[in-house]
Amino acid sequence: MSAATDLLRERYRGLAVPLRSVSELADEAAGLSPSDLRRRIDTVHGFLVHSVLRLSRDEVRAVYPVLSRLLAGPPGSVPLTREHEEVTRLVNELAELRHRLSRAAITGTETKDLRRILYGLDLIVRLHFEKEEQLMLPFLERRLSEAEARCLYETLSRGP
Amino acid sequence: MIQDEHRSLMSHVEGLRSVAEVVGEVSPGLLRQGVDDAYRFLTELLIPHADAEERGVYPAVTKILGSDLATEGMIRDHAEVKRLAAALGDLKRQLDLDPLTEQTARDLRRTLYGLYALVRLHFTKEEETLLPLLEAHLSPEQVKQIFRAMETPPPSPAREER
Repeated sequence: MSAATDLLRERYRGLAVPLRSVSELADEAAGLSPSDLRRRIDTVHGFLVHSVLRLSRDEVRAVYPVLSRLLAGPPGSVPLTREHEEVTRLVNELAELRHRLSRAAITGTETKDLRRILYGLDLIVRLHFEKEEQLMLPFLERRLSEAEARCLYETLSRGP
Repeated sequence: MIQDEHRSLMSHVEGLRSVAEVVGEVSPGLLRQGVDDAYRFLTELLIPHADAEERGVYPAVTKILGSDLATEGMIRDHAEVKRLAAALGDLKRQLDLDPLTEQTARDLRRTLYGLYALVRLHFTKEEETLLPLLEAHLSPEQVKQIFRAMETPPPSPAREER
């Protein structure tokens, strides 16, 4: 255990409950009035941008360079990095849909797109946190020296 | 070779999305057919392909990287595919017995769209990262050996002596 990995573990766990709102919106989308649907999409989009993508940026900035160095090069951490890119891509797709819906009622095709994006995000983000918590954090705890762990904690706490 | 297999599997992966899109819109018979096809694809093609990768490709990648962090993450993807395939199997049996309820429709969409996102991303990660590693670090003969290992069926469970 280290302060840095504890901090990350705490952040993953803090996002687990609000993450449920993503699949709940997918479950309920077709039964909502246009104004309720817009409001719920705004809320979910805000959560994804301000919480999930913010954590993602912090990890790409502070954790993944350390991980790459411990793995003697980027290939070992690329699969996890690629998952961050996919989450960003899906959040951007949601933002485009949100923009279109600010001007018109949702169509059948857009309802299908919305469900695909939200159920996809729910699964990828949940599984990604699980991998980071159960595989990446124990790896960091095994391999980081005390000084390196302290430095990582300071970088994470400092913010961008 | 794996890229070729992925290409042939991709049309079935798109099928997962197509079935998710018509849940609640087509006749019970057509929906059952779509879910049956998706379930057969997962259990007869995709999961055996995943198991073969765990026998052939992943041990080689772990050796090259000197760590199992990347491959363990990929194995977690496989485990999630198996979990979702089992969930789809349960939903399929439910459809055989009862008419489609709102809850079953939601569970079907969640399972199928989840699988669609997961499998597409998993293929991309393999093609962009793991396979180029094999090509860069191994001779063509060594790569062939790995693919041969993938074709070898796993040992069947030992029979109990009577």
